[in-house]
Amino acid sequence: MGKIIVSQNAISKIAAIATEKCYGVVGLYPIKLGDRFLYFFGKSTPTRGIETRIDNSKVKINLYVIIQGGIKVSEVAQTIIEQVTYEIKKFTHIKDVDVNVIVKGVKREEYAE
Amino acid sequence: MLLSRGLREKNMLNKLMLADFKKLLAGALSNLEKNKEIVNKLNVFPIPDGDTGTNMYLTLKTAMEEVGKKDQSNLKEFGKAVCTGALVGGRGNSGVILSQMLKGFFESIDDPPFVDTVKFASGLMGASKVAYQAVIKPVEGTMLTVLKAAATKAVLIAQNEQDFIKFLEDIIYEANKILSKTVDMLPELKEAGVIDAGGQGLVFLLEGGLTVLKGEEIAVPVFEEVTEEMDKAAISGDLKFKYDTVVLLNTGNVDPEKIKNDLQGFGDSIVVAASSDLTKVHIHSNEPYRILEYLVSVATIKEARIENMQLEVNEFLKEEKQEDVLPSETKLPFSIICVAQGNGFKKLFRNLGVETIIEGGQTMNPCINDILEAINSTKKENVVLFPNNSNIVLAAGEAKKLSQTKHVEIIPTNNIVEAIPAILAFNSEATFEENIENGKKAIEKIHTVSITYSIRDTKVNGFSIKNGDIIAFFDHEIVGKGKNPGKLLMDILNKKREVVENKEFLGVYYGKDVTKEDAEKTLAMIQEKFPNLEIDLINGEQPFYYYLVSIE
Repeated sequence: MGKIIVSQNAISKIAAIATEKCYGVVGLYPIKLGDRFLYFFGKSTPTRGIETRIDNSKVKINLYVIIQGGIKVSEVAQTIIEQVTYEIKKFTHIKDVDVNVIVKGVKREEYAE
Repeated sequence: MLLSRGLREKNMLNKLMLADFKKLLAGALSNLEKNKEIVNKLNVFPIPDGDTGTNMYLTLKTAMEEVGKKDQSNLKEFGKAVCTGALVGGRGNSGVILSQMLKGFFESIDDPPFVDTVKFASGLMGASKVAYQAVIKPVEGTMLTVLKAAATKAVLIAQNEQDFIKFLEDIIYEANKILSKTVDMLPELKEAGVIDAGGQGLVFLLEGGLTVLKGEEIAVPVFEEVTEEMDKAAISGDLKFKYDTVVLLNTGNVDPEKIKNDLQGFGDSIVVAASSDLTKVHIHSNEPYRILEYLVSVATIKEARIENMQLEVNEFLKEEKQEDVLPSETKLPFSIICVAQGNGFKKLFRNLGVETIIEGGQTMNPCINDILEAINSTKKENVVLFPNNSNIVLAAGEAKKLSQTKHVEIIPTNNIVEAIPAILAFNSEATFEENIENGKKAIEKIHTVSITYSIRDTKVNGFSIKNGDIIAFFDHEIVGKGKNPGKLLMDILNKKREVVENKEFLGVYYGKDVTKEDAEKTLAMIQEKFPNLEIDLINGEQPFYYYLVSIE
């Protein structure tokens, strides 16, 4: 039987797409200097807030997110962990996935009207 | 003509005051409580974990508890209390979204002396706006979509419709219309053939609100009294009154108090609860027929239910006793924790030397805290944890991170039968790390077959499945459906003949819904077709699964 290799970048992208769909997340925080530079000039890289490490068949992901203010942060973070883990497992069939959420910022509440 | 119009306008509900809002939310909460299981069953997106209804209910419940803490004098204070409660009590994804919706609603209406339909519509619009703000890429076909459609409709009709009853009816009609379309909006919903769970929850909330504004009541089934009795009885084992009788009556002119007094001689735990049209009678007695006889003579019976509590108590005591099986002492230098369901499995794990068993499995996931407590109470420093269900693996990982005093390793078993060969692979001479390696290696080689039933109509892997169909999983893929569990198991083993014949051992665990005779028949069938395999038949007594099979 052959081997399937899923690259780090591919996993980061899946994680990015999954994170953006999570309720309560209003942004990914650029962690790499280069990404931050691009972000500053209005050009965003899709995987800017995502750190993926692959160790044999283990995947470890750190997500740096900005969360909407006025929401229960712990619940949102828990949901992100669950949803991102679920999506990665679903698409890649990797069994050992460890997702950490680092809340880098909170967006100020905007009142309706 | 003019007079009748005047009358109609007088009776029309066109302003909602603070008291009306309290009623509205209480009604919404009751209706969701009544229907939360329906919502749970629909939950397939974003993660099919079946908790949307419960999460929404608990979120709103905390909100209402917050309201009950203080007397609010105006709508602003009331709204603030609701939002605080929902924020603090927000549970799960749907709970968080609901808390945002409530926040948007009450912030938009701010603090008017009363709310008319126009104001209410702007509140709904605000709710929708605030709810959409908190996500970068809103997924359509969810409760957000349903709220947006309802709010848009509300704004459209509010100018011309002052009557709240008709106004809400129209909104709910629109919400239901879009809700039925959610199945086509999201591929995940389409595959499962369901409408969105959160959206359905939202519709239940609106409908509950409307029902109480109309002046009708929402009957939520009450179970508390009975369980309380059960606990007391369980200590003694023998019940003074055996039969639990619940009767729904149409009493007409008869005073419920009189019925209550007349019933005194028949038994105890008498509850007579009267609502506008129906009266509910609850009593424990030894001669239920005499109660029915009496009730028929004074009123019309709509529905009656009689249960023998002695049997339940016996069952309960039996389970208690079986729980007492002590774990057999092992020489292993670490403690083992298993999540398990079914008395057969629990006994088996005890005999294998599992120190702590956490009750849980399909539909009943233990929370992180339960697992953490189990970890902290083990005798040894090093702990091995078997989650035994893919939905629990994650919670187990979180518990591991939180545990500070113990060294925890998880062997990520997705199926309860995988834990057994893993435990058998442990060796008291080897180190902790080597044992973990051995355990993990053992589960890699195992294939599992699970035979269970479907709880709804759905479409997966090209199989169209009806509610109640018996279905088979090979590892985690649905591979077949049928009518007879034993026969289906046989079919799957035949289908996977290539895999099965390369293995040596088959462990067949039959569930509590399968009789010993049926299980033995199935065993004979397997033995005939696979003469080279060594097969063990074990009574797992697990719920939901007719058969669980490990192929090693």
